[in-house]
Amino acid sequence: MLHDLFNWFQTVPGATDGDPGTSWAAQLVGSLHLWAVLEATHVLTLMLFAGTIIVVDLRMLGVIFRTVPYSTLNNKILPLTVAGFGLLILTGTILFFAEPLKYYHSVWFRLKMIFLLLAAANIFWFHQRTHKTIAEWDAQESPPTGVRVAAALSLASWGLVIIFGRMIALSSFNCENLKANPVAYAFAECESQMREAIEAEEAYEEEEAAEGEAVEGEATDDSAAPEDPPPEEPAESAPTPAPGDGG
Amino acid sequence: MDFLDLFPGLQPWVKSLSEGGLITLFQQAEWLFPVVESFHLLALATLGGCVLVLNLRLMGVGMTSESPALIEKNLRPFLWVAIVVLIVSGLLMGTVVAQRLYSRPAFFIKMLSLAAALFLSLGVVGSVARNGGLITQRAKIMAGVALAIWLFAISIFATTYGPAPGTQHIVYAAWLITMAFGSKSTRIILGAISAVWIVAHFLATFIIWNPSDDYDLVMEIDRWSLRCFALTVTGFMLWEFAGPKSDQSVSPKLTRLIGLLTILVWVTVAASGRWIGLGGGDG
Repeated sequence: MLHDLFNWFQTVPGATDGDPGTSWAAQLVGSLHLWAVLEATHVLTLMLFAGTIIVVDLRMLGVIFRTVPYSTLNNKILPLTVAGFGLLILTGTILFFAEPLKYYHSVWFRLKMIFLLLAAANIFWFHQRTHKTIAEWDAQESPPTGVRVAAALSLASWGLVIIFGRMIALSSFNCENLKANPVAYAFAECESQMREAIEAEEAYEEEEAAEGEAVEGEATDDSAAPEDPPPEEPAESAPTPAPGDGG
Repeated sequence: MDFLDLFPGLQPWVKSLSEGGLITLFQQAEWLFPVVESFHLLALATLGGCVLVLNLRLMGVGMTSESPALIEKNLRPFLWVAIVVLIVSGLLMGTVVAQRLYSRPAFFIKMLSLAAALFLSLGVVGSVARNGGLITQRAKIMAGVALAIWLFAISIFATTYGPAPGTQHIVYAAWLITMAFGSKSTRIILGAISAVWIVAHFLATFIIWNPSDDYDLVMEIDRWSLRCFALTVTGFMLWEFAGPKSDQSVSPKLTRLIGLLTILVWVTVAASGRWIGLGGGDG
């Protein structure tokens, strides 16, 4: 189960004495400004990646640079797009593993990934089929329909990737607020997320009760000291910068 | 430094902004703010593409087979659309969170660098590109004013506690441009220096000292380490694009510098904008 895998990633690696509050993921979220620098880099790289892809797509649509061969943009601009994509994937992956469960159970993150895959499939399809005939339409002011459809699909899917990416920060779509919306609840696999929350709460209540009994026992019989130290206070939640707080 | 420090008299006006009907609308529809911000981001991407493609050409790299005039003519409508959408969506969001922006240094930095960026993109770069690289006296003066405003903006950016880490984006953008378009020897030397810097920075701020034990010391190391790296990158960048060996035939030195400056100023606008939310605390 991916849920369990991401739960492990969020709580185990780097954790000292099994305290999930000290895992690498938690340290990154609570870092002075490493998380913020990564997040802002992710957003700013849109200027490089999406910006250059928009220019190339507009040429494929025959909207701009109609007198410039497509191959000129393909050779001079696309390498910048690829560099931007690498940077987005790098920062995006690190940010994902800071709070993997949050993103895994986010409706918006899932939609973003779907359209990311769609955009990738579109690129693959374009290179497999249309790109081979490039010599025929390279200098055409308005390339053939197949090329223009690929460009329109690219613009639409990357646009949605950006919009859904921004929506991830919308907390009203977190699992605990989705119970009234069965489709979204199932889509985000909220069942496993919520089951865990309920189990954690029950376990905490049991511990509380056990502690209460132990204290009572101590009062009546001094020799029956509790073997385990009392459960520690839950680790103070790390100061998380609000991703939706931008300008 | 922020707008509250400079214009405390505006307080009642800013307060009235955040009590208007617009904020009620945004409060009722929680999704509205992120939707407006999404359009802000889409326009930011469009702006990024236009600014990069045109100004890299002015720097003598990228689409060098085409004239700057042709590139400027093709991208101009999209640059304008992007700027208009950015300003309209920015005004909408800004009105809703007016009181917060009023006291945020990052917002003040953003408005300063935005002024410099608009000067450069609309007043200088367009004219330089249309005149085939020729820089008129008026363009020179405007570029000088923009440079002064930008230097003032980044000096506040780098020395204001909350948003200061956001200056890293400007350094990294300069680094990327130098690594992508610099000569082979520059790439190797700067690449090696960068690798050593990353390892040394990590060792100094996480392993040898760490923020939970020596907070003040780590912050001080962090600041000076970034400043040294920024100076190094600036040195290599200027050597590459305005040094004695730079190729003047594709683009003259001053034109290259204007292209480079315009890209970095827009990165400053975007970076300080993002750090309005990330920089925390009112300054």
